[in-house]
Amino acid sequence: MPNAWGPGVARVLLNIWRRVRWPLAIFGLILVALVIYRIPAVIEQERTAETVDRIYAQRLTPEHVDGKHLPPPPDPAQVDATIEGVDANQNGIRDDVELAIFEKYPNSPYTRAAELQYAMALQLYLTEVFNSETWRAVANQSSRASMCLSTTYPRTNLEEYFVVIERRVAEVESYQLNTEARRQAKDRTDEFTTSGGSDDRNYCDIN
Amino acid sequence: MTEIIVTLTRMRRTTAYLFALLIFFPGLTLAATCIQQGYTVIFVNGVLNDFEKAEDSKTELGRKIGGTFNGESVSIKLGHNQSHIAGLGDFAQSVGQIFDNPISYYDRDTILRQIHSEVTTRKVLLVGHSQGTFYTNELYSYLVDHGVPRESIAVYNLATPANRVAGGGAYLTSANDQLVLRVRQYAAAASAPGPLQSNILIPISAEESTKLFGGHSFSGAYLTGAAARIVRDIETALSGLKASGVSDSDGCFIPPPTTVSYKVQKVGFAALDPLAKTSVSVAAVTGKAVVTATQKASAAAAALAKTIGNALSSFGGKAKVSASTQGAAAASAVPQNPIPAPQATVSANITPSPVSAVVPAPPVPNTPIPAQAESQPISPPPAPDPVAVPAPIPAPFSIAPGFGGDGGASAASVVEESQPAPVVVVPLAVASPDDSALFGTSSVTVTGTTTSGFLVALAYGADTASTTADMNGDWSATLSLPEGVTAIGIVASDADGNTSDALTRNITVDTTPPDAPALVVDECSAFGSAYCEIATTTVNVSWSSVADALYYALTKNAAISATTTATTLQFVIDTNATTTFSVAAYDLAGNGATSADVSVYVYIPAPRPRPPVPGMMML
Repeated sequence: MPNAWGPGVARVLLNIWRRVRWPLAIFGLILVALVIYRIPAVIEQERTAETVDRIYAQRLTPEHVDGKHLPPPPDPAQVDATIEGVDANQNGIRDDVELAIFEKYPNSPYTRAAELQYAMALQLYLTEVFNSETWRAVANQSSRASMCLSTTYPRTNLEEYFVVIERRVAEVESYQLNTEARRQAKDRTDEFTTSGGSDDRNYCDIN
Repeated sequence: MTEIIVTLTRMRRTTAYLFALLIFFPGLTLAATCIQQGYTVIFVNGVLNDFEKAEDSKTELGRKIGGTFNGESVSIKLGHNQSHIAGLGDFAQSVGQIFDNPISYYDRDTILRQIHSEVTTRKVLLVGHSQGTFYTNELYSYLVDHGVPRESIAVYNLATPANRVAGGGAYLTSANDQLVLRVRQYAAAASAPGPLQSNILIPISAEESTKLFGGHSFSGAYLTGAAARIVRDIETALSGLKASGVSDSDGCFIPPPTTVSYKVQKVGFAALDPLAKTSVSVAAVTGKAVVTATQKASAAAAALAKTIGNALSSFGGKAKVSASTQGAAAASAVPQNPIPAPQATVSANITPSPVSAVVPAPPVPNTPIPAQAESQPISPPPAPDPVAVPAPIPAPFSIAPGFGGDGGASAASVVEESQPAPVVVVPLAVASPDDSALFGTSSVTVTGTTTSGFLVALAYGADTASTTADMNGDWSATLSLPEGVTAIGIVASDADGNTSDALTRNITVDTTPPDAPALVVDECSAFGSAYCEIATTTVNVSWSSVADALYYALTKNAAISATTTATTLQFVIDTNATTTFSVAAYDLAGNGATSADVSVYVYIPAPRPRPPVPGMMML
């Protein structure tokens, strides 16, 4: 089949190709370099997305509160050996904290649930925060849990209500941030503080 | 490289799309839907509050307000008022704002951008503290001009140096607020509009009194001393909001555009703020070292002068006090801190009682309040006196006095002179049990908090008990209560006999167990005994319903197998073995009663092996 464009057109195209091939090659190389340069950031983004999903998926369930799945008392030598601590039943709540809350509130499942939810959120600060995105997700969970705690006492006497609620907040924080290493680890996450938050108004995982 | 390709391949599609969106539309912000239901409370902090501190204040306010009001959800958000140039920028801005002529709208616009995606309800309440109150006023004006109906938004300001509250909102300013008092004096001297009159007297705690501007901090003064009043005022403000207009899918207001001026300021602050922060830190450390060295030198000089004086007196017989000794003594009597004492503004006779300190007056509308109209027995702030205005504060460790939320250098010796006499507050709270709690045991432990070392007395029936709060302020007392309802009265007291308000708990003790249920295995009913043999592995266990039983716990071979509110359960049990069942009924108080055991033996003979068929081939 004869060339429909003819030799003249082919020559023009060849001419164009000769002129643009080097710029195109350089552009391509730059593009490849940029893509390679961006790969760590993209990987970081993917890791962040997975962590954020995991943080938001962390919810208290009735099994965490009913007392039938309590972990055994952790080995005293291991309790404070690491920042993360021991979580034998893998529910996101440190075992020593979980047992302390159950011991404090054996007959108050609702208060127990709210404190466990707050403990779970505080644990996330120690285990999942490595940038602003993850900090924001944990801060949202923590804020929800904090608001949930505010529902554990009647507001009929406001002064009394304030004292009890703040006491319960401080109680969980003292369980959770019980060593200097853990307090410092929590403080280190402050470098990632950033604005913005979700508008999840379902404060308590268990109502 | 292969790993990288695999990782890229595994990237979730949504992430990739979002990434692409953000690359091509870097200015893209996601607008939130604006709904009629619910409330959004925006807290705007004062200066020298970093984000974390402001976030903590917001969270604490949120817990106090609670998550619902009038059956609708309440969401608390932070409109972070950033500090610039280590507070100097804020100070300059505040001066402009006092004259209603701010230097820049950068911070206001930053807050608006920040909250744009977070405000999801039509009804909005802006709560400001300190310099944040200037911003809540500015935000109000902006928002009503950009999509928010006036009846849907209100402002409530705390510790405000401003002379108004936008939209006629309420405010709360303590007569003990040293910063507002100082601003009032400066404003009078400069013929500028002064802050609104104080309308409450909040006692200052010992910790707060050590701060340069005691009585001003959001958390340490206002939330600590007047939380109930603040919450009631906020609830009043919320109840006045109406969600007019329709729900909007483009957000609740139009955010300000990103202008070149805004970008320039952003870049400028991004460069200046960290530099200024570092400079202040270095200056603080250096200043502290200089002060310490000066103090040591002064002490050494005094000791040397004393030694010389003693030596001279031993030689001269009658002691002569040298000029240098007097100088050293005088020097040691002079406070090291050169900050002049602020003017006393609260007379000593207004020391309130712990309860009456927070005057339960209704929210004060935004109208000029004459001094005599104050609804409480406190002296009005002194008339502005240019002569009495303190000199500018040469604060070596704090650059700007500013309108801070919680910051400020320590100046205890100065502040003490201007504080009212210490107020004795006897706090008391009962952590457990809740009122109307039910116990299945006569031994009931009551726990709570008060001040460390305070005595807590409990009266119940004809008996009393007492305990002392530990070093953390925690206390507990174990009482032996009779069957039925007992009212417990609880009071805390200090060593001087000051007492708290009495709290009560009505506790019910119910140690009477319910009736024991009667259990049967249906397949054994023909046997009518506690033991039977059957030829089936599926058994139906049932029992009689018991009045007052909250639930039943079924035990199979000495282990709890199930808890249920039903009165029948089906089991598959082992063959050629005995299985023993029992069931316990539990009431609300946790008392239980267990049925008699019923044992079942399943006998299913094993099939006999068939004799081999003659002629069959084994493969």
